[in-house]
Amino acid sequence: MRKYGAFEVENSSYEMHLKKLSENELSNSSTDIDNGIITKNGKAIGVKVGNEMVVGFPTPSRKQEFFSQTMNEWKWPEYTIPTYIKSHVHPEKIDQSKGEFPLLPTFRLPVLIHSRSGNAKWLAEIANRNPIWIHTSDAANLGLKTGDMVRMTTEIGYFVDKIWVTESIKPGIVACSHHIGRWRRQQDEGNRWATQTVAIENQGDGKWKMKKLKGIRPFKSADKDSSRIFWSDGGVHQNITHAVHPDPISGMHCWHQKVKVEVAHPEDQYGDIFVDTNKSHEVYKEWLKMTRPAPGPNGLRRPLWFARALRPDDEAFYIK
Amino acid sequence: MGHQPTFIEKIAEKVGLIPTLRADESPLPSLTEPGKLQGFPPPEKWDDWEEYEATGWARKEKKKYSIVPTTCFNCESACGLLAYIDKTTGAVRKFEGNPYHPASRGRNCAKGPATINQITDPERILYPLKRTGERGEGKWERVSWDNVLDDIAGKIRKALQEKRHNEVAYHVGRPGHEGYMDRVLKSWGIDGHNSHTNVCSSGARFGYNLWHGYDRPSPDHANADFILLISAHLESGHYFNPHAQRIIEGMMAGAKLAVMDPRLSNTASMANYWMPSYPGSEAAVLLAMAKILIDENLYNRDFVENWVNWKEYLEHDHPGTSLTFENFITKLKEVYTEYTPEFAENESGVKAEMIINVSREIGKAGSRFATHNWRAAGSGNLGGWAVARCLHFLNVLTGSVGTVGGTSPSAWNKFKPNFFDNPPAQKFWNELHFPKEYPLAFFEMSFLLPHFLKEGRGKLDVYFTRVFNPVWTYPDGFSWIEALTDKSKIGMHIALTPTWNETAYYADYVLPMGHASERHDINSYETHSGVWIAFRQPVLREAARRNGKPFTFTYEVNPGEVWEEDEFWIELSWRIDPDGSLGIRDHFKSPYRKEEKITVDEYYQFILNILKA
Ligand code: SF4
Repeated sequence: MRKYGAFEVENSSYEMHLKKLSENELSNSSTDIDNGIITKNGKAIGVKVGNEMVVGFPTPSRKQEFFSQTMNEWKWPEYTIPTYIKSHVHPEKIDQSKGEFPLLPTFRLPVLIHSRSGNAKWLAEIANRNPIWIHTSDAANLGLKTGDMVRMTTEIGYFVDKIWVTESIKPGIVACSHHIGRWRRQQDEGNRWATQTVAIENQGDGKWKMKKLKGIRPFKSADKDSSRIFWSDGGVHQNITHAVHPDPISGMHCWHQKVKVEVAHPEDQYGDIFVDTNKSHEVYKEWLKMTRPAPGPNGLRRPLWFARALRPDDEAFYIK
Repeated sequence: MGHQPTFIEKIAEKVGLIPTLRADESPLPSLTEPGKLQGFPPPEKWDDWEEYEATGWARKEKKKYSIVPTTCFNCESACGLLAYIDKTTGAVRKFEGNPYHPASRGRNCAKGPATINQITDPERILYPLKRTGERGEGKWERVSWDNVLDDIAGKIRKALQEKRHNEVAYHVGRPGHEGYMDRVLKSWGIDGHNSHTNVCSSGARFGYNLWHGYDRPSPDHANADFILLISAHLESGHYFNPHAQRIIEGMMAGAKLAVMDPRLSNTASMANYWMPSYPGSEAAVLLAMAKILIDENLYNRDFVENWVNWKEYLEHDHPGTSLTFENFITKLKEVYTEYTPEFAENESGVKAEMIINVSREIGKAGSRFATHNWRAAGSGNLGGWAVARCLHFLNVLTGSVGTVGGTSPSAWNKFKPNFFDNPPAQKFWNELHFPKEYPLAFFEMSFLLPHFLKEGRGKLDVYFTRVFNPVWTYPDGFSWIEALTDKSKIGMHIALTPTWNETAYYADYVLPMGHASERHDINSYETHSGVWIAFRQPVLREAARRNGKPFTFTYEVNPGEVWEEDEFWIELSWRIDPDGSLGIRDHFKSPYRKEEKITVDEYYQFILNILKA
């Protein structure tokens, strides 16, 4: 292992649900005649399909669950089978006449990794800007061309960015890549290949402003390349202007943001950011209202068959 | 006469990039005399490899290297890397691919070789730092690791003694290991794991989990006839480089590719079908496809009849209906009546005709149908989890679950290591991570932490962030700044990180941790059909071992005082329980030397020995 660094344990592993239960596994088990579920010591260990006693899948039915009794029991009967759920950025919730768009803020660039690659000069050299992708027809409606500045207003604030006019995005939608818009304050160190210098102003009562003081600049260091930095932009930090959108079921943050795209205001400068955290707390509470809290059946906090990364003792699954 | 292959085409044919255009053509003309060209240095020469120095080109200067394998840590794929260690200076000179790595097979994306930038970054953090001014003020002093460990250990010990277990938490961005931290946290008895997953992949995971109790797909792209991606795996995404290789392999062998994405990604630009769906409409398109498979009898009856819980569905939603498969199909047709291609077009903007064509291709591919959704639509939308659920519905209908060229559950293609010691599961439930409002949340409600603290749901006395930068990466970063600068909510914030980040500015301690080539980890991921295991190792430590140089800890060979986390957690855990009264020490005792503290070498020796056996 130290020598080759890796090795193959198995070169293929298909149809593992068909793995037969051994005699040993089957001893002292019982099989439900209706649904074929094989149980041992109170736990389902497999399923009888045809004449075979196999492991199946780790669900309550040991099968593929088209129908989810779990969703039913946990108060979501409308979602017991595969369904289409209208997004929070569904066209019904976007008023195009007011300049509203869904913003896709998540796409990754092949050469960067979240906020972890700011210390890699080759990568910062390749990718260092994150303009707003906007379709030619939408840009024309706004009277804008590539490089023009826009104010992107979210539910909790805004950011000022430049646009890139392209045919590579669906009309009516704007997008902005992830990873870029890294910053440091004047007193902070590090990642100068990729960070711009900003000033943060806490205006009180939850109101925050960020202003760009300087873009990316060459600097003196033990690495001669640092004095050869030719890129200067550094992009704009968009995520900080996003409200939290917890999906009431999966808990996932729903990243898309409804934004208003407008020509930058006269006082706006590239990279300006404003956020009101009181508003973000309100948005949090609105989404919280959509939830259907525990307990579920038997006073459970969570279905026992659902995994957890660091799984507590089964006892802790019950609300006391 | 037809088209004569060009020189470029002939090369492409030769290396198998394109199919042979003219089998009977004369052979590829040789540019040079045949030499001994090799893709990679042969392993028998890794201890003593010689090559020309690029910067000394005209002088034909040679350099000697020791080559040590490790794995990349610049995304979740953990592709293989070979570190070239200069035998004269003892420094790592460059990173290239490791041909023996079963997933990456010698290839990397740009971020792999760029690891060299990270370890030689002139601004990297080399020593532990402690805040001197107010939190967030940006004033630091260098401190000793000894003091750091004692201070943090004392605080954790106190919390555990006072039964404030839920005030100690470890919040992780990219884990990059298999089970290491879970073991540590269990040994402390805390429900202290918080992750980034709910800003990442929980949506898709939830959808997959509902179907079959596994939360991730592992498509067998290389053997597929049709590939449907709701992602951009030729350029990014989970297991990007290993997947990209295999998608292209599949396409070289004739597979067709469809990509659903409102943006013309690099991936969509390579597709046979680009389906630019309106964001959030993907599930509608997928259900329309399912409807076509059902209506046109393109489903795999054998799989659906045997492996879907359709009886349970009929019993519950259509009581009184006799439990026959035919009745199930009839009900399916009824329940999805409204999902016509026209309805889907209306929702998504993808042409009905394209939806029909793609569905028929999927039906034709049958069990050789590979699909993937990870983030993308699954992470973008309210109800985004339904995207993965509807996508997997197509795999179920075509019977392509776990088949050759189909889509397997992740766990089938992933290795789980056995540890020398398994602490019992914790008895606590931390509602800052799993509050009652989100009983089904697939992972911790991590991005709501500042709001939970604001509401007074609890506080954190010791909060570790590790490769984790919520101030910048998460939504609503200013709420994080507010939480992190409020000492009544977060007593101590410790940032474990190889490099500065916006969250570390708001820490009490910034502790430098090793990059890919400066740490140990076991990696195993579901990149394709098969199971592999890779070993991330501190390459200078391995070089020192080969050269017989004495050392005890990895930080002795790493730059400055950069630690590896494995050793940090062992040392910290040991100090939390100086007299063994908390029972923590028992979980960190060597399996080979009685009553002694385990070393990182012993930890991996144990896992790898079992594996060998
Ligand atoms: S795909 Fe990921 S693991 Fe592989 S080389 Fe690129 S960054 Fe490294």
